[in-house]
Order: sequence, then C-alpha cells, then structure tokens
Amino acid sequence: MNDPFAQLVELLNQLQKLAPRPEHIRERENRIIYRNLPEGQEMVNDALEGLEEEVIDEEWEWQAEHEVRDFRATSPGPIVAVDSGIIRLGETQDGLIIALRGCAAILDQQGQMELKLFRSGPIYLRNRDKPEILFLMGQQLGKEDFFVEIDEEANPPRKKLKPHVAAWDSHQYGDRFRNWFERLIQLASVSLVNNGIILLDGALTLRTRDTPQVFLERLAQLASDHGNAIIAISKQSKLQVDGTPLTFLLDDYPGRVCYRPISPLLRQQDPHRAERVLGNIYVARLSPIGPCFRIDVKPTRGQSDHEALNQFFASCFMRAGYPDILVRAHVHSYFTPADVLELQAQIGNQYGLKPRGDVDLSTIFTPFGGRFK
Amino acid sequence: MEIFTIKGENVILMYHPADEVADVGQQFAILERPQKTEGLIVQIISNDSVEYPGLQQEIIQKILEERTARASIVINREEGMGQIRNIKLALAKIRKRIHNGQWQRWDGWIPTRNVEISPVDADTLIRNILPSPEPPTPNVPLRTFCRFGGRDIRFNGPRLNMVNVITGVKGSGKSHIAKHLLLALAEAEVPCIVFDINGEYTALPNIQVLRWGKNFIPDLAKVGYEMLIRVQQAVYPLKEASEATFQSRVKKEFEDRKKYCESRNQHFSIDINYLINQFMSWGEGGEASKTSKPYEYIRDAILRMLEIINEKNLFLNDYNRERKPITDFKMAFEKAAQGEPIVFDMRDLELALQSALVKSIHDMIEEICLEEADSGKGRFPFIFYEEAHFYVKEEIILNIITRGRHIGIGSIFVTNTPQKLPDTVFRQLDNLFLLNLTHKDDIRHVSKNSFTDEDTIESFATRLPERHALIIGNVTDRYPLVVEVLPLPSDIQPTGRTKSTWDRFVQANHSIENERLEQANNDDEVPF
Repeated sequence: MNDPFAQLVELLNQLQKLAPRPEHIRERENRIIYRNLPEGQEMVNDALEGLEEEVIDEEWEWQAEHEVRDFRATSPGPIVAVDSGIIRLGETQDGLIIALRGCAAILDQQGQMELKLFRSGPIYLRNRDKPEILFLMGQQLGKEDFFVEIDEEANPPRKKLKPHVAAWDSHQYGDRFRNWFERLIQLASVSLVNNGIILLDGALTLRTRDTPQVFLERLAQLASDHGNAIIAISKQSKLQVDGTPLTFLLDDYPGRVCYRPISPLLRQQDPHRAERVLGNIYVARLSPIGPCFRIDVKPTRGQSDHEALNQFFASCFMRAGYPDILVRAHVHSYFTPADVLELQAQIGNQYGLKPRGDVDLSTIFTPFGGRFK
Repeated sequence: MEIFTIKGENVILMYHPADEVADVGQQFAILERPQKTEGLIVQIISNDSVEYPGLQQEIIQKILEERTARASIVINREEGMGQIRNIKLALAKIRKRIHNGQWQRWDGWIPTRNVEISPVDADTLIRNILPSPEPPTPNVPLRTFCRFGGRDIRFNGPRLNMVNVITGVKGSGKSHIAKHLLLALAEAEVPCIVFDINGEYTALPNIQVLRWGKNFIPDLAKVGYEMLIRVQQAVYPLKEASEATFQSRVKKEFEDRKKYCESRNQHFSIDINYLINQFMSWGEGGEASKTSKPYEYIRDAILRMLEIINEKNLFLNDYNRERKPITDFKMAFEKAAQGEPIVFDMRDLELALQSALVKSIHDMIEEICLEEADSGKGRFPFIFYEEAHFYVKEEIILNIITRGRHIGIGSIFVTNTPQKLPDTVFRQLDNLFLLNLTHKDDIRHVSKNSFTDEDTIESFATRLPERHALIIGNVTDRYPLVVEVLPLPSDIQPTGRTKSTWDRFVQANHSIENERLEQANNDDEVPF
C-alpha cells in the first residue's frame, strides 16, 4: 500500500479495532475513568529516556570565514508546508487517549492557498497493545522492526519493545504517534506540487528514535521525483557549535537576511555526525528583525542548496521572520481549549469513559502556586 | 442542562439546544438530589451564547482563512466537533422555592450543584400559581382569553381588583386584551365603563355606545351644575372675575330652580336656555344699581359662553329632547351592571371636552359607588381608560387609583406610553398585562411595579412573540406568566381602523400602473 492517505486511514482503523469497546469498559464501571493530562503543566521526567543525539559537545574551532550568503531574489514556485499537533486527552488505567491533527498548506504560484486537514479523532492506545501498535507504525514508516524486536521463532511471532524506543511514558508514547502522523502527511504532500518546495517543521536528522532512515530517504526520493526540494526549519534547535547554540551563529551579521552553512563545520569536526542529516544544515535569518533558525536543505536532483534556499525564500511570505505558510499549517494542527472539551465529550460517547476530577493542589501551594519554580 | 452560576436571584443554566428547549418565559424545576423535595422554580428571561477560551482565536482564524484559503478535510474522525458552538446559556430568575415538595415564596435559599433540572409542565405551573381562592375571596372564574402551554386559563375575577395596566407599543394588541377583559367582566355582570378615544370598542356585542352631544345628552337637572362648570372651563374659559361670578350664580340658579320645582311638586328640570334667560335678566330690577360697565362685560361673557355650549348640544334642551337621547347616566349604569358595558365613543370630541366628560362621569361613578355601598348591592364598576394621559390630568389619575380603591372602583389603564402614567399607578399596580415595549424609558417605568424586576420586564417586553402577553400580578400570584392571547370571538367585527389613502389599493386590480393604463387608454392622444 503506497498511498500515504490510505496508510493513515488503515492504521487509524487498526488502532480503532484495538481500542476497548464501550461495553467492555462499562462492565468495569466505577473503576475506569480517565485523567486529564493538561498540556504545558509540569511533568516529571522519569521515563529513563535515551541520550539526546543532536548535541555536538566537543571543543572545535570556530572559523569565521565560513561563507555567509544573502538570500537572492529568484523565481518563486509552489510550496507545501506540513505540520501536525497532538493532544493527550487523558490517561486511563490501561493506556492513553490522544488525538492528532495535521495540515498540509499548499500555496501555488498564483498566491492561492489550499489547506488539507487531517483529524484523527480520539485514539485509545492500550499499553498491552503497545508492541503491536508500534510494530504497525514501524511497518508504515518502512521498517517494521524499527520499534520492536520480532521473535520470528515464536508462533505467532512475538513482538517486544526495543530499548531506547522511549515509549514508556505517555508523553513520549504519544509523540511517536504525532511523528508517524506527520511523516505520513509529509509523504503524501511531496507529490502535491511539482518543481516546488516541501517545507517541514523540524530537522532532517536521520536515524532518530522515531523515524527510520529509510523513510526519510523515500521521502527525499519521492520529492525529487516531482522536482521538489525539501526544506526543514527548526524553531528550537538543540544543536550547538563550540558550545554556542546554533541560533546565535549569525550574531556577527546582525540584522542581515542571510544564511550560513553549518554542515562543513560538522563534517570537519565529526564526519559520522554530519552524515546523520539528510542534506545540509544551515543557520538562517529570514527577516532583518527575525530570529535565527536551523534550516536543513535537501535539494531536488540537479539543484544546488543555494537554489533551493533562494526558491524557498522567494516562494513564501515571512511573518516576523518565520514562513507564514508554516504558521498556517501550525494553526490548523493546534487544538484550542474548546476543541479539547469536545474531543473529551467524544471520548465519553465513543468509549464510555468518564473524566475524573483533578485534585486541586492550589490550596496546598497557596499563595505561591505550584507551577512556576 | 447544568447550573452554571447562581448569583442573587439570577441563575445561569448551560444547555445544548438539541437536548433541551429553554425559551424565554419557560420555567424549570431545579431539585436537589437525591430526595428531590427541595428546590427552586426558575423562569428563563433570556438566552445567550457561550463564550469559551479560544473562541476569539477560533473566529478570527475562521474569518481570515475563509478569505485566503480553501480548506478541505482529508481525514476527519472528530465526530461532533463544533457542538460547543451550539451550547447556550439561559439566564433565569428564581420565582419560587420548593420546600417539602410545596411551592412557596423564595426566601433566599439556593440548592447545591447536585441537582436535577427539568421543565415545569403547564398543569403543574397553573396548579401552583393559580390556586382555587380561599375564603373570603370569592371564586369568580372569568371566561378564558388566553392559553398557557396549550391549556386555557381562567383568571379569578376578584384578583383583578383594583389597578390594572395594559401596555405595549402601538399595534401590539393592547385593545385586544382590553376587549377580552371587558367581555369577560361584562359576562360576570361587572359594570364596565370604557373611555374610548379611537372608537375601538363600539362594535363589541351588548355594548351601550354613548356619544356625547349625539345620543348621550345629559340632563343638567340630573348631572348638576358641576358638569356645566367643567364644560365651561373646557370650552370657554372665562376671566377670573367672570368665572367666579358664573360659578356662584349658576349654583344659586340651580338651587332657586330646585326650590321652585319642589314648591309646585314638579320634577326638577333645568336647561341652558333657562340659565341664559336668567343671566340676561341679571342686573335688572333689584340689582339695577350694580349695572355698571364691568358687570355688563361679565354678563355678556357668561351669556356668550352659555350660547356656545347650548349650540354644541351637550346638555338636554327642548330642541334636542325630540331626538330621545340617553339623558341619565345612572340608567345606563344599571344596564351595564346587567352585562351591557358603557363605551364612551370620544373620537369626535375635542380634547377639552373629553377631559370634561371623563371628570364628570367619574364624579357620577363615585356617587353611584357610594349608593351601591349604602344599598349593599356592591356593583362597583371597572373603568377602562384608553390612553388616559390625553384626557385625564395626573392628579385625577392619582385620585382614581387612591380613592377608587376605597370606594370600589377598579381601573384598567390601556396605554402605549406608560411613562405618561404617574409612578403611583405602577407602585399601586395590582396586575400588569404587558405586550411588546421597545423604549427604554417605558420599560424602566413599567418596572416600577412591585412584582418583578427591570430585567424581567425588559427581557419579556422586547422578546414576546406575536399574540403573546406577559401577565403578572394578583391574578398570577405575582408570577410572570407568558400566555398566548386567544382571538376575539368570531362575531366581533374589527373596529378602530385608521382611515388611510392606501385603503383604495386593497380593491382588486387597483394599482397606480392600472390607473395610469386606464388613463392612457381613455386618452385619444398618446402622451409623450
């Protein structure tokens, strides 16, 4: 099955089948309810997660002569921006309920924008189904044993979570789904335009713990087949060069709309790490007053990075130094508080779950509150 | 439906319109679980949409996106999204408390949030707010003229005592309700008198229509010199000296004539011609010494005034006696007490005469009331005042509602300008029949009654559906009841229509185009 939209629906259907039926939950009435997992509130990081891959923590010499280039006016082309969002609607005794939203915003050369929206609805993920679910997810991302070890000798084959999958806490487990959702929308989007730009939110880092390299290679291949370059923008990069966060690496050219290649520095310092990016890394400022971002560039076949970057710059409006089209994609991937309420109502209807009231700790922490410290 | 807040007497309920209907005027019982014997009766006075976090963002986003982008949902598994936009808030007022299952006046008690909220059906409401009267209040159910929740309502007549106001904007149906009340009271043989300035009541069945100067020409011997003095003041105001002279002389003329008639065992009779004759000879004979110039002026002025009044045929004389008019208001009142209300059709009377007539009739009614009290018959009337402020001064209205209460006169003020009625009317109000009002000042004025608050009045007065009225007061045990007003009986012809140039267009095929076409066809030459 090569159609990414069909793949999305297929896995959502599989998840629906795995989710408990309301009748089953009602049998255990008064036992199972769900607990809110409010976004943005303090979470205890007790998931024993793996090391962060993206920090270049060795000492290396900063070379100021690395070229800084201005963006140049060039012919604009169509552009597609993809983003996704997740809301953790609550956790139950035996799992987690999430909902996903994604958006592919398409801006054609006439300036007309089209939005393709993807809304998963509530997804009930039971912990006991985790190996099976992650197996299916790996399968769709092009590597079925990416998240799980498969014991082929057992009958039926037994699946066991791999270490470092980091799917042990609800936050990260949910994020694996957000990533899967976004990746499939990206895959669908690379063929929506020709000779344009596919703009992604994030980085093109290979061999991360949520996306197999084969998937990104397939994505790049498909984009290239349609003459599209892939450009990924990271709002918050953890990458540091010589102990300096990447977003400070244009401070020697304040107020200048320009970009600087970072990959040569990486290769010089650690060729192995440099290879872990699909394409090349740049730091760029997209408006005189704007911040700096990490931009990963994977041009289409026959196109230089500079051509891809200039086409990207010419093809989309900037909003305070950030691509407007990506803001649009983000806006439609966002859940407003009202959306959350309605999705929770849908949970009640779909799974027969009732919310459990949160314990109000405000009186304990009065007058200092319990959130900021 | 859930309680959102309770503050003071205001309850805000949150509900989904697919599950509940909470129209303005509807009532709900809020009963505490689990016993459901304690609770509140609340009445919806308005509906609002819910504001929720992110709403502004949502709206702005939608508006902007609609302008700039075409959106399609490729995968949508978010069932029922947008339902939050359907949720409404209903603002309700606490009307009653339920204590041990019984309805009683609200004493400030409020329930917990652990409640069951259910609509109150019409039967339950009517049973609780329109209970059968307990002695000594008699039970005189009036014929129905309105319906609540599909059920006909019969108000108890005695609860209409004493001061009632029917108000609403022009065309909202004030006269319609007034006619219903008039017919209902007449059927109960309550004498009713209507001061009708638009001729709206003249086609009602069993009505005595009195037109002053036409079919109603009072006999001065019966109505007394007081009415003549009022007419003089209205029709021909005299200068101070002349007026003082007239008032003292006319009283004396009446006394002299009465004595004369008594001495000859004749019925007391007197008319304006007699008075003219007396004033013409005034100053002759024994008073010859006083025929100085000023006295001549006074006499001439009085004579001119009497002649003018005489020409208007306002009082019985030898000439108009032949027309056999109604001359005795008391006889008309007797018939009114047998179910034939009196309607004074004042359409053709000038304002000053309207005022004189109403004041005079009111004096006569007072006298009748005293006689009714003395005789023990107790047939005290209800008086309908259509737009009273046109023809009754404020102090007289105050007299009507204060003194009327003591001597048994019930009053029904019908007005589209409630702010023209004195505050006291609303402070002394016993029943309010409210139709649509739009003017803030009117709403504020009506709200001065002691039954309910401005919020309720404003809410109902601006939102009442067609053919509906809010009734509140003694007849509803102070409960604001929104009722559907029934049509008048089919045999009653519509009256009081304003004459209009547009009426001719009602005729079939009559239009300006047709008229022009006919004109053009009739012309020999084709006009350029």
